[in-house]
Amino acid sequence: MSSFDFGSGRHTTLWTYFWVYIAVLYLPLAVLGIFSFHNSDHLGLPWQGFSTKWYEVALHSSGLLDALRTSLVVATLTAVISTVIGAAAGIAIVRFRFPGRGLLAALGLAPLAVPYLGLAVALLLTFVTLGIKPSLATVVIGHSVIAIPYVLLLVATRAAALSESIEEAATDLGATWLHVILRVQLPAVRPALIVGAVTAFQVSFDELYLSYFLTGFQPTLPVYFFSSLRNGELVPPALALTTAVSVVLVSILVITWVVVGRHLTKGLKTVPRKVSS
Amino acid sequence: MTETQTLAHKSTRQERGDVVELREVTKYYGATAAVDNVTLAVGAEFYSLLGPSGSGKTSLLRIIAGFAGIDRGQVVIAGKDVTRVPPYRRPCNTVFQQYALFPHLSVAGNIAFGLKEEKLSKMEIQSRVGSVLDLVQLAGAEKRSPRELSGGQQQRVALARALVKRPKVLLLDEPLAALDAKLRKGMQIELKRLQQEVGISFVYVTHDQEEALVMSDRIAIMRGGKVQQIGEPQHIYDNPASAFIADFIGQSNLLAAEVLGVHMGGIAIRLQPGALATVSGPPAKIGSKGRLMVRPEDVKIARLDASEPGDGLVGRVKSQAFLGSSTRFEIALPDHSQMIAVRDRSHTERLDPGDEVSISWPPRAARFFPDEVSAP
Repeated sequence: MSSFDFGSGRHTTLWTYFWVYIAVLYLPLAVLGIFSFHNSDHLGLPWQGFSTKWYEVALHSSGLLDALRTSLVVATLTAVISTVIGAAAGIAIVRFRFPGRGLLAALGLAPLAVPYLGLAVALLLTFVTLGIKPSLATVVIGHSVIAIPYVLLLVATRAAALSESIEEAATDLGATWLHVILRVQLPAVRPALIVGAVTAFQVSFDELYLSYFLTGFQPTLPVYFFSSLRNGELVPPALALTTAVSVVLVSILVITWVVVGRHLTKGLKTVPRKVSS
Repeated sequence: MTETQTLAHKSTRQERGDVVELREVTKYYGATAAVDNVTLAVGAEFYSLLGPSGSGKTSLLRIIAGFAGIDRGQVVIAGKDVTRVPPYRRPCNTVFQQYALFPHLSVAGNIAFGLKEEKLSKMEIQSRVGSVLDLVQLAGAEKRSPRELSGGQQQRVALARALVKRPKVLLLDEPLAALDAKLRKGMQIELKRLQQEVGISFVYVTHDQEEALVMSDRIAIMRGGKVQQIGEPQHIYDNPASAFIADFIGQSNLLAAEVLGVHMGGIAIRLQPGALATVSGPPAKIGSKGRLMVRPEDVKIARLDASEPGDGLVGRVKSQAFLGSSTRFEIALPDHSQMIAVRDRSHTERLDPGDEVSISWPPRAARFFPDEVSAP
């Protein structure tokens, strides 16, 4: 993907460190994944046999499946909303000049600096004060707020690397401002849009704090799982489902980044620096 | 019809007329005038806007294209006042300095972009794209993507993209600036050939005087937002209108001088080193100070014969440089200024550093420019 030259040599130490790091990061998840096949509801040793019964229970647990469906819906809506808003803001900040540009950038990125728990409580208070009850809509709003900065950064980075006269060239060739956006700017940042949407989806899907406070009677999957910890019975099936879903999601993420990620930087600024005149 | 024939056919109507007319165009950025009361007309020719950084040449080009508005004056293209018309409705197209190719489209896609905006049929688009690729000698490159192309190729795609729209005027903003020297020389010839083949107006912005001299039918020299001189390259070279232009175009010697008198043969000048000379030029006030300009290739030097002192200019050879077909001499003058003289191979008399030489030139070859009294 990059043309960075690490120099000659096989760099055994570096690679060893890398794999140890990955292992430390993912082993606990792998352990949980293993225990989703445990033939007992006890999340610990001694190992009592291999079984897929929890997966069956999970598939028949309406509460669990509802939570999964809720998460998917919320994540999809969040992805759509944050991609639209994040991309618009990202392109505007980087390709146009207007008063308040810096302010827009700061606002767009601000959620990254705010602790989600604090944001969750603040949003809940705001909604309650406005008389809006917690529901799917409030969760989507909350998730969009935290997902927008990701999309904004991804799109802005790519948009910034586009040749600076590209909008003028399009106008010169006959495009109105609408066509400049639809036929030039958006297609040119498409890889960033895709990666941004997938990232927003991921951010929303495994988000706990905001969902916990803003969810009504339809919990998202993380909230459901969190609540189930109190009820021992629900844990193994929830674990099983979560494992399955995680595998799917991680795979999607990895595939997206590998396939589309390499296009994030391709085809940009192909011409050397501008000579001042 | 081929692309060339169509473009040429369309432009013969304007051949004897003006394609672009700028009338008293002025544009301010804050308190400064980036373009100051510019009036000029461009026909179906290769017309260059030449000047140093900040002279307003790029601003002027952008004004013609429609990317910049003006505070005073009119912009007329092909007989129509386009002063208030946005860029996408003007009959001109621009080749940008950084090419600005669309990275998400192929070569064919880039070229077809403007045609799609015109809502032409697929067949028409395909045929025009093919024709123009032939014109810029990139046939077969339709499916390649811009990043696979070299700098010179990208530039030709940018050219093709603009030309395929059959504009009345092609505007070029220092398109060769990013190319290496050899490629640049090749492209200069190609651009010139292209303009002649296609027959439309080319308005070309550059700060490289050599480039302008090589390519242009006419040059407009700009400085500080104003047009200083317009003319054919040869004319400007032989008859620069000011010391600045004399210095900017080609090489010249500029010596401090004072007018002693005016007579039939020309103007009598006293040069600071205490020598006298006669030059041609517009009448100047006696006593006015200024500069004498003479080109290095017009300067004649000869070993000083001590037995024949006169009131001519003398100097001492500081250095000589062999340039192949000619030799370049740096000559120190008594007042510590210096002159450059260039001699071709026909001069066999040998002169070495340290030699004293007499310096002269034909009166017609020298010019006097009075110093500018105040900065406007």
